[in-house]
Amino acid sequence: MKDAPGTRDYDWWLLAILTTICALGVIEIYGSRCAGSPSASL
Amino acid sequence: MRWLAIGFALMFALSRIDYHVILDQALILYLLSIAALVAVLVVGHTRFGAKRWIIIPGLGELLQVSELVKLVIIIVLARFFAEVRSDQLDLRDLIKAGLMVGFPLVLILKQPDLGTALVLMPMMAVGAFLAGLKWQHAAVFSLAGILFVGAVFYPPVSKRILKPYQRERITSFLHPEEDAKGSGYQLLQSKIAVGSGGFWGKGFGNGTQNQLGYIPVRYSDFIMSAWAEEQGFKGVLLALGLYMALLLRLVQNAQRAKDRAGMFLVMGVAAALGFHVLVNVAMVIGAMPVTGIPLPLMSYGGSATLFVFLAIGLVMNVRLRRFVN
Repeated sequence: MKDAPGTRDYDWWLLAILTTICALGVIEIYGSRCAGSPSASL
Repeated sequence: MRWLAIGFALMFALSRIDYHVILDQALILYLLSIAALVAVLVVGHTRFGAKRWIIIPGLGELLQVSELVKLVIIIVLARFFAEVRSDQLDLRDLIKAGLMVGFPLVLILKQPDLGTALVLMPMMAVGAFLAGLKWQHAAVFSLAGILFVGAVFYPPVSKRILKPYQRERITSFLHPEEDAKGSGYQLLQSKIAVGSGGFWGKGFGNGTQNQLGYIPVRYSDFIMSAWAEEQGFKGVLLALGLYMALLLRLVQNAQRAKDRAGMFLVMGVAAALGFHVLVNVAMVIGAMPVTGIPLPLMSYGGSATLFVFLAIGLVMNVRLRRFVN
């Protein structure tokens, strides 16, 4: 038993998965927000 | 990006406060949540016909209060179920838990926000199951749920219990082609996008449904349609695989929690995130009616992103203290 948690106690795998999902989202949002609308393209 | 940065910072900050201290404040947090939900109904900001947001003083940003209320409900339920000392929940405990969830649920439905209100149900169901739900109670609730879903899809009854826009969503779910340019438009365009992606996808920036704006709210609730069109089945497998890994990691953290309260907190988060992914993905492929539930961490939306990061902050909190005195 320890008295205080340290940085090594974080679930770094969970953070890695979280960051990867965020990265997918940011890439797709970036791609989608740069897109136009049907009326603008015609 | 700004919300992601704020989310990461708040997640680390929340993980440093002992979760037992947070659980001790459950009642205050619950009362504050109810007050905030009432405030939204009175002075809230209206967008797309729904009154769901309040303006953060000083920042001018809109905050969807119900997203943070979900986090409070996870905390309140964790404390409640952890304090039940018997192996099985009796009916009185179930009614108490139901009332605790029911009150904010009704306030959220008033906004109206069916999607967020629905998320409270699996959090309660998973908590009750782990706390020792009797099979007789489970059977009664399942039957009630089946009857309710049946009533929603049976026009003579749904006319009486659903609002016109809700009935329209059911009709557009069952027969989207009947109003292809109106209520069925979202679903049809989404299905075209998902199907046209094929196995390999059209490539980043090459999805015509996405790039020409045929998919409505393509960077929010329907981001999975845009992703499926451009990245194809392999991309969807990658995204769903990552969500599955996230959920399994959460369950593992729940198993390793120091006490029952910690386990209930983590499983509450897992139930909420799992339900979000399941309903959102089912919605974009037309397997469920459109309910406006975002895809965690991928959909654009500050409040929803904040909820996920704070929820993961709670999980980290429990994990950090598994070996602490």
